Amino acid sequence: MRKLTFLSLAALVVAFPVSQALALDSPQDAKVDVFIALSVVETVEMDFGAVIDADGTITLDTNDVIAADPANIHQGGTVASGVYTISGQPSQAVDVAITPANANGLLLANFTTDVGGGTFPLAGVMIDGVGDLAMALGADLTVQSGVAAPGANQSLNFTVTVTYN
Amino acid sequence: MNWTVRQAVGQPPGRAFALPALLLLTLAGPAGGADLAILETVQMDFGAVLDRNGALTLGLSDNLVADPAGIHAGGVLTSGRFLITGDPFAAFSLDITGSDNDGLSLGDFDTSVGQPPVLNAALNGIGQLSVRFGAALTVQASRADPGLDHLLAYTITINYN
Repeated sequence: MRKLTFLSLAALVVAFPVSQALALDSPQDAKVDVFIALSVVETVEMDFGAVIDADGTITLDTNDVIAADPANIHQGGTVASGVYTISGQPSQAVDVAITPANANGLLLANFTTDVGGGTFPLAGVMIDGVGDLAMALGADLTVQSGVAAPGANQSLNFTVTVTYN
Repeated sequence: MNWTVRQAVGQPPGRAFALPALLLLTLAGPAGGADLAILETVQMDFGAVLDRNGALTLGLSDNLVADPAGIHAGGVLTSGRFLITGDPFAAFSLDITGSDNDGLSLGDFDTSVGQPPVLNAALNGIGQLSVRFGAALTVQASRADPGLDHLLAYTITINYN
């Protein structure tokens, strides 16, 4: 009888494990996309040629053309639309904004481009499959003759801001 | 226990052992006890970051808590969501261990039941607890490679108390 009882006890222990899994290590994964940091390179500098020191506004389009000059202040010279290349993560969308730093009576405004909707800010324009987005720029230049001073190669500064959409 | 001994008096030797054996099983064993388990219901997602040095912190509500270096680059942020199951009302501890994944390091985890290590969380009456996770992601630009859907390994450890 004692042998039978011990056998019964052993059978119960095997059939009904008294210990359960008390601990668990569970491997998991989070995820993230890593994008190439954005950069902007100027390949052609925007150039309005020459203007006279008189009040007026000229419009440079995106094809190297003075598209409007109602006050007839443009005086020739080489005219070039700006060309910029944005580089970043292939096939990702970016937003682009431009902020002029107007000074010395020479004011930039109303920037235009040949990508997206054509005016700024641009929202959700695509970088191509190799990571580039080429962009031509035009703008209005207003001369305030009371402030502007004659001189060659006067800088017209502006900032291009690009962010991933 | 004294009752069991008294009942054994005068009985054949086999009964005297059999009764304590059954009692032992009852006391020692949650014979129907459930193993602790973790089910990921929403994967933690940091969206997109720039391949630049910096760290950003994902909160518990699908939100960006901190990004001092400005490396977050959009995408959908989602906090992790997990369902932990086990014995009803059971208390347990929880810890999370991050890792370095080719210049993308996870650390400083947070959860909706406290910052790990959590020493005394509890399952509800049906043996479940939903937990949200957040964490900090550090990017080492010199080691991280651009690309989509990088996996960031970490380990959740839970123990019955």
